[in-house]
This record gives sequence, structure tokens and C-alpha cells, in this order.
Amino acid sequence: MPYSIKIAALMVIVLIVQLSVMDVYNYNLVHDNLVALLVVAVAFKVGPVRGATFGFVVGLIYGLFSTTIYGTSSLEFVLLGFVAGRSSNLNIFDNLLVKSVFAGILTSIAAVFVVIFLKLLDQATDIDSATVNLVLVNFVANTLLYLPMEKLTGGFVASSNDAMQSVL
Amino acid sequence: MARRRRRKNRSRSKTQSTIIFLILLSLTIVSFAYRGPLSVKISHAQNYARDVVSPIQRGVQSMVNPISNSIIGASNYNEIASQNKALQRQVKVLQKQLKSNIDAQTRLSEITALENLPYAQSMPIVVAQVINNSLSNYSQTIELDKGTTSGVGVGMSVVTPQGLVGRVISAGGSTCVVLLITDPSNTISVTLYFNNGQPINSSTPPSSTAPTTTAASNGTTQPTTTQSTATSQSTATQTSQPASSSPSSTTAQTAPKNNVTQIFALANGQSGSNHLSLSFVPPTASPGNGQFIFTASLNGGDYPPGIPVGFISDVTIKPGNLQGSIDVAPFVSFTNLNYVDVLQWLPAP
Repeated sequence: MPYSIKIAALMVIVLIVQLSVMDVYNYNLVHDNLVALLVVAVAFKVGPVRGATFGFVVGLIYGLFSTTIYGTSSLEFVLLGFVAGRSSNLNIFDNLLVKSVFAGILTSIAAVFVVIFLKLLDQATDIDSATVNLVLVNFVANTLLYLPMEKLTGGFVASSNDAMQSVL
Repeated sequence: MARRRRRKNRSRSKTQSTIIFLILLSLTIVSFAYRGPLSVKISHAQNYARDVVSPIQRGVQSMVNPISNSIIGASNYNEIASQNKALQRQVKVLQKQLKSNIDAQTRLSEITALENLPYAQSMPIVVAQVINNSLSNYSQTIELDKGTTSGVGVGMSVVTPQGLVGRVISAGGSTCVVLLITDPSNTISVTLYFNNGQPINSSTPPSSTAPTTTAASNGTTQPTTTQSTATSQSTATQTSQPASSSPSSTTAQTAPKNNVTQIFALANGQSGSNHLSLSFVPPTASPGNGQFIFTASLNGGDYPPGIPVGFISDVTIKPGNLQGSIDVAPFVSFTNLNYVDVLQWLPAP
């Protein structure tokens, strides 16, 4: 199956899970953003330009279902895709644990970026306990969920092969 | 070597221009969606998209809910284990009584209660089910399964028998989005009632003398109040104590009419909290803990008057400050909303 079709199907599944299931697993009404994690996982595999482009498209679709201003998700995911894609060549990411933690940190920073951006537009309140919860939930959940997500996007298999080849 | 460097530079500039283009495009979309000419069309597209996805959401939720419940149960293992021992003792007694589905009965009673709202007797209503408890991390919203085809429109108030939930901010054909009263961007003009300067605790505004149902259900802890009123000069004596009350508990309360004064204030949601804060309370007023708060009867208000909003849970006055910090606990528990009523009432233009 072509990679683009596989990723499009995965995107649809992640969107459905995000919209139907994730609101149940919340901490103080804050839930994890799986879509952001998908963008990071794909960008790690495809690089900055395609990662950012994928983020933009996913953001446009996800924005249709979100109550934040349309386009905010696109902006968030473009930056997320670019940063993740740009840093994918770093040697430290041979270690999957480091990569998972980095994915968690990236998605947390992206969530804070949205809060600040909405604050600039007068659409959000101060950075407070809700934002702290947002950072914690995104960091913990996305760090834990990164490996399954990377495996789904095909990156895990590739990196494992690379690792095995380097050992051999 | 030079050719390779040139090719690398060209590739880098192409990357940069693509990223800048995507960022600018996103910002353009944001500016159009925020206050631009396309904001209405984008809002329609969002409503349409939610309508399309809502059947899938419901289907997935019905499949996943049993799994979700078991996972949530596993995370509270100790608490559930102790509850389980107590429940096992009761099961034998209850098995004889529970012939029909408890869940169906609960939902039926919820819907029945929604049909007979004590504070909206003459108002047309639409009963709706909550299909998403949290649409976004950046605003406190819920999604309902009724839209414009059922008569739901933007600006309509959403309530439960316990009190105010919020107002519709976006409506599609078969779904709508409700901004909860606890959202920081939601400001509600509210009324507090006093009798001879003393706070009145009543589940209906004093203008109504009909017996009322205590605003409490689904096990939430709320103050129940008793009060005795005598002559026009007498002061209403009140006792207020927190208690858990069941949906069936009914208290006949006749609110006092004598020397009743009302003050208006604004209630705002607080970020990161399920409570509201009360502001613009006149310094001469002395609101007390447990005092009930209703939507105000001001012209141009966003909500119909007389809907219970919550009760004062904390009043803190710092030395030197004219106005204290007043915390209001909403009557409605937003974490386990199933069915709500949309009041087909729109604010005056």
C-alpha cells in the first residue's frame, strides 16, 4: 500500500478516535491531542517540508471539528511538523525513549503555543493551572503513546531495522 | 563541491519558502475565520462537518464506552474494591427489586424531569443528549445531538432541572455546540435576593410563590435550605447546610415576598476551575455562603430570568478591600451530563 494512502487512512482513524474517545480520558477536563502526536510521528519520518505540509492539511481538517478559531490547528501543526521533521536527523533520536520524550515535549509546547496565540487574539485567559494540566496531559500521554504511533506510521520498523543493521 | 553547495543552498531556501508560505497561509485562514468575511461560511462548514461525523462519533462511543468504563474503574481500584464489599451485601436485597434496566430508568427519569422544569413552565423546550463532553482544550464546550432542524438556534439557553448549563454558540442541522457557564469567556448577569438585608436562600426567585423542587439531583452536594417568614418586618431566619439529595426529593418552599430586595451582579467562569466568580456586587450588600443565585431579569440579558445558576460557596473579604472575592458553585455537575433542555428563548435583539 502506498505510504500516502496508509497515512491518510491513519489520519482518519486518529481523527475519529480523537473526536469520539479522547474526551472520556480527561484530566480536569483536559484531554490528550493524538492528532498532534500523529503529525510529529509522520514528520519524523518524512522530514520538515512534507511534515509541515501534512500538519497543515491535518490542521485544516481537525479545525473543522474543533471550537477554536479555524486555522489555529493548521498553524500549530505546521510548526510542529516543521520542528519535528527538522530534528529527525539528530543522532540522539536513535534512542527511542529520547524520541518519545521529545515527542511529548514538542506536543506540550505546541499546546502552550496555541494558548498564547489565542491569548493574543483575546480568545483565552491567562496561563494558569488549566495550561499546566494541558502541558502535563500532553507530555505524559504523548510520551507513552509515541512508540505505538510511530509503529503505525512505519517509522518504528525502519528505525529498528537501522538499529539492527548498525549492530550487525 | 561548489555545485553541491549551490544545490544545498537552493534546497534550504526552497524549504524555508515552503514553511513560510504554509505559516502565512495558516495566519490568513485564522484572520479570515476570526473576524473576516468568511467567518460565517467557515462556521457553517464546521457545523456541517460535525453533523457528518456525529453518527460515527455515537457509534464509536457506544462501542468504546464499556472498555472506557473498565479502564476508568481499574484506575480507581482501591476505592472500588471497598465499595464492592459494601455493594455485595446489598446486591441480594436489590436483585429482587431491580427487574428492569437501571440505566434506562435513570435516563427516563432524567428526561421526565427535563419535561417539567420548575422555572420554565411556559417555555418551549427541546430535549437533547450530550454527545461530546469536551470539544476543545481551550474552551469549555459540550456538543448536543440536536440542531437547527429540531428548532435549536444560536443564543438559546441550555438547562437541566438543577439549573443553567450554558448557551448555544453554534448550531448545525443535527448538532449544536454549547458554551458552558464555567467558561471564562461566559459572563452572566445574575440576581441575589435579600430580605431586610439578609440573604434569601430559596430555589426559586422570590417573585414566584409556587411550591418548587429543590434544585439537586444525581448525588451532587448542594445546600438545602429551610426558612421561616412571618410578618413584613420580621427577618427571614435561615439555616443552610450541605446535604446530598436525590432527584426525587421535593421540598415545598414558599419564598418570602416581604421587604425583598434584589441586587444585580455578574458571574464569570474561571479558567481551570469548575466554579464561577461573582463581581460588581455592591459593597453595601452582604451575600452569605449557600445563597442561591439566579439569572437576572434585566432587559437584553442573554438568559431567561429566574434560572438557578448556583450557590455562593465562599466569600472572602481581604482587609482594606471594598469588595470581596465571591465564589459560586454551579448547581449542575458538568462532568456527567447526559440529557439537557434547550430553551427556545432568544435574547431581545
